[in-house]
Amino acid sequence: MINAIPSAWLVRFHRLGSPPSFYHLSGLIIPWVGAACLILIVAGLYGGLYLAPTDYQQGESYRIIYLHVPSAWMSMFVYVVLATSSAISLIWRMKLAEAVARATAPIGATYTFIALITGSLWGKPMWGTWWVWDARLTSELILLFLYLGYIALVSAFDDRRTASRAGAVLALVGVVNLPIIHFSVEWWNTLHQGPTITKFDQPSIAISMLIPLLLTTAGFKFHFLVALLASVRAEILNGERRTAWVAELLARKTHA
Amino acid sequence: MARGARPGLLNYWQEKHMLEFFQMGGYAAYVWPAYGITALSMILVIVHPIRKHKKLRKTLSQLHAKRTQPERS
Repeated sequence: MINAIPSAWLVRFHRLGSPPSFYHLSGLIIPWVGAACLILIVAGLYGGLYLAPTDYQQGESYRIIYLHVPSAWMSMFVYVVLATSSAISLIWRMKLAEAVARATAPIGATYTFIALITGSLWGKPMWGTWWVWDARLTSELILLFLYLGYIALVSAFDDRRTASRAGAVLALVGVVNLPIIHFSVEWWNTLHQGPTITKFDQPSIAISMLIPLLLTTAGFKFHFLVALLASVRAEILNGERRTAWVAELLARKTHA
Repeated sequence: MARGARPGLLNYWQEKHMLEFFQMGGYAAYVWPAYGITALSMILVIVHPIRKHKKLRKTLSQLHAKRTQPERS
């Protein structure tokens, strides 16, 4: 059945996983992905801050949702990327997967930080407190510590490949935290409100509030892609500094 | 484009409405810091790797030039 896939495609896909192709391709697409990110976020914020009506319970304070929900979703999505690339790097020893794993951790930590800070700034006027040790907030804080722990562990090794392997094990163990975060609002009685969007029946949010939220969510996805490509490029150039293709790249640049 | 008493965008940005917008119904002290901190973090997480890459590329280029250029003295 493998013959059903044209071999040229397989070769092309395989090449994409090689550091030089990834390096060249990412340099080309970063500006375009960045433009898409900017358009989506500007459109989402115009809709969210201006067009969307005031919430009848929370007043204007609910407008923090357009940052809080996308960043909280991204904090978990990026962890899935970190864990997946870690698994690939452990199984196939693929250099690109190692670079992706190392690059995702600071980005995921940033989204987790944003989710916690915006949540706190939303919680103070609505709940009357900046922080409570309830299940949702605590598990999200543990996610931040997982990211920071990964970064600290990886930077503690001199050998990059050993570092990646150690980090990969930590990342995979930490996956257990993801379902805890997601179901925390159902398993425990928490101050945090239940899901409004990802319910199986109709989402309990007005359409004029939902559309801007979907726009900023898409914008955050593109933002992640820009940050990821930019840091994987730096990772690749650093890791491959002694290879022939980098020497060629530098030679072309100096003599041009 | 019927959104009740809400004025059009151009009128909205007149002084009175602008003030109302920035007041965020009394929640300005929570909403704007949330937006500020988010914007700053999201910009930093992109700018940092790009600057790191540029710096590394410059350093490597200098090293490369030194290695390939034969010494003429």
